[in-house]
Order: sequence, then structure tokens, then C-alpha cells
Amino acid sequence: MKCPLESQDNLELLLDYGTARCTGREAAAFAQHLATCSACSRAIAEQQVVCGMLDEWEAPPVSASFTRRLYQRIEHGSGWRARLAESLTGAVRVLFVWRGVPIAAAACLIITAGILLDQRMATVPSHPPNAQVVEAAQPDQVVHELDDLEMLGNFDRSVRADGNSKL
Amino acid sequence: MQPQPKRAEWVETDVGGIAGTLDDTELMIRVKEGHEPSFALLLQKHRSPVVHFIYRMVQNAAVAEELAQEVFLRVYRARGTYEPTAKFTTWLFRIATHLALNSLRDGKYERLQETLETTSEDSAPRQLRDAKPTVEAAMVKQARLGEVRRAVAALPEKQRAAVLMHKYQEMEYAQIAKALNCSESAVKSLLFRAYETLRARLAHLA
Repeated sequence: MKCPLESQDNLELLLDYGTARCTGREAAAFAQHLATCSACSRAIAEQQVVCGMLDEWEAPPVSASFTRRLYQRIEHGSGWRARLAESLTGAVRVLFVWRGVPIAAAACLIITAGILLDQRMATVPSHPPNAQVVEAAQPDQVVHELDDLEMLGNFDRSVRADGNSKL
Repeated sequence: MQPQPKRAEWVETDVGGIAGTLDDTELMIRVKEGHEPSFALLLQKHRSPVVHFIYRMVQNAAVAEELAQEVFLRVYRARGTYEPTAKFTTWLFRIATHLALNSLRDGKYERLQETLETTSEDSAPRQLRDAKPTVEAAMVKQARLGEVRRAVAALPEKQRAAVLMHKYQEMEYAQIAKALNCSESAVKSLLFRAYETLRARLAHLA
């Protein structure tokens, strides 16, 4: 038998033997291997200790109201779900009764989509948006901006002149 | 014609005398066909294992019950589409694992993380196995349990789920693999690493 720790092939043997789930011929063969493999023996011993500790961890009992609360949730859920399912079924039935309705609806949808697409293509601007901004600027605005730039230039020059005179 | 018992009474009355004669898959097929008492039997059989599994995953009794209710609600709501392609418990624990992992990832129940001393409001108080444990022995046991719980909680999510299904639910590797949506060899590897980590973390208690 290949050593599970070395080959990783029979990992389940190590797991099952350690958790007492390995029985019969498999268990006997692995017991023979354990007699000659100290690493596996140590791993099994440690595994059994861990399993013993896990056994001590008891979960608290389920509360007495669990089932009642669950059925309340089922009742509550089934109420609005049933109504929703009923109304959806009704709508589908109407559509199937009026056999022409689904076809007409599909045709309307395609025509509407076509019209919307056509309108969108027609309204797409032929020039970049920046050009519109330049065209929208008024001559007064340009003059005002130039005045501001000149004022800033004068201010800059006067600051430099003050600095030089102090030095 | 006898009146149909209320849902909560189905388990006790065993409508149709089907308990013990049908396996889980057959019961679920009957639920699919509209036989609701079969659902009550499935609930009775799997309620505790599911709650306990989720409790050990999230380590909070109230949250575990809330999530377990969600598991059974989903089973009930999906009854119409149920196909017996796998064992019923595999399907059940796949839902339970999914919900528990989502809850852990959301972290919205972190504030509710209970200590060993706390219990849910309407659950019976925990009892120690020893007939007459001394205060000291009880404290030592509590400390050991605390270490075990912390060691399990520190495992990566998938390893934790695999160990709990393997150790406490005694599920087969193929079932665990389907529940965790991975291969059987991946499950064996997950379990080996998980037990190895637990051995290292709990060695000082041996």
C-alpha cells in the first residue's frame, strides 16, 4: 500500500481511519501500513484526538417555535405569491386568447424602435461639440476676456517692478 | 370525510402513514405533486441536522435558525422544479452551505456573534454531559470548547463546510463535492488540509 502522506493518493484512508469510517478489508490493510509508518501513525493519533474534541462540541437544541415560524413564513409567502402567479397567468391567458395581440405587439415594437433609431440618427451633430461653443461666444465676451488678460499682465509687471526696486 | 389537519400537526399525525416507508427523494417527489404532509416529514427529519450544521458554520444559534428557515423555505418554493438528480440531502446541504457562506461573507450578523455562555431566547439551556461536574471542570470544558470553536471558525470557509459535513453529517465525499460544487479529489484535499490545521491548532489541548 502506498503511504497516503507521501503519495496523496489514498488521502481518504487517512481521513476515514482517523474518523472511524473505514472498515473491513480497507481498514485491515491500512492497519498493516500503520504498523510500519510512524508518520501515518502519528497523524492518525492526532486526528483521533481532534475528532474527540469535535465530538464534545454540541449544538444547542432547535427552538420549539421553529416549525410554527416556518409555516407562518410559508403561509405569508404563499399568499402574495399565489396572487402574483394568478395575475400573471391571467395576463398570459388574455394574450393567448387574442392570438393576434402578440403579433401586433411585436410589430408595433419593431416599428417604434425603427422610428426612434431614425430620429436619433437625424439629430446627431455633424461637427464636434467644441465648435458649437466657439460659435455661441458673443463679440462682447471676447473683448471682455481680452481686457481681463491685459489687466492681469499689468498686475504681473507691477509686482515684478516692486520686487526689483526692493532688491 | 375527515378534516385535513393543520400544517403544524402533519408531523405528529403522519397523514397517510408514509413515515418510514419512503426515502427522502420519494417524499420530495410527493411534495412536488402537492402532498404537503411529506414536506412536514422531511422537515422533521432534517430540521436539526440543518440547523446544527449552520450553527457550527456561523456559530450563532439565532442566525442559524433564521438561515435554516430560509433553507426550508427555498426547498418548499422550489418543489415544483425539483428533479431527483442527486440525493435530497446533497441538495439540502448545498442550499444550506450557500446561505451560510453568503451570511459569513455579508458579515451582517457579526454583531450578533454570541459567546459560549449565551443561548437563544426560546432554546433549552445547554447541559453538560458529566453527571456532577465541578465548577473547575466545567470551566476547563468551556475553555476547551472555546478553543475548538475558534479553531473551526479560523478555517477557510470551504474547509470549514467540508469538515462539518464530513464529521457531523457523515456525508460521503461525492455528496460533499456536489454540495460545495467541486471535485471529489478537491474535497479530500480540503479535508486533509483542514484536519491538519485543526491538529496543529488543538495539539496543546491533547
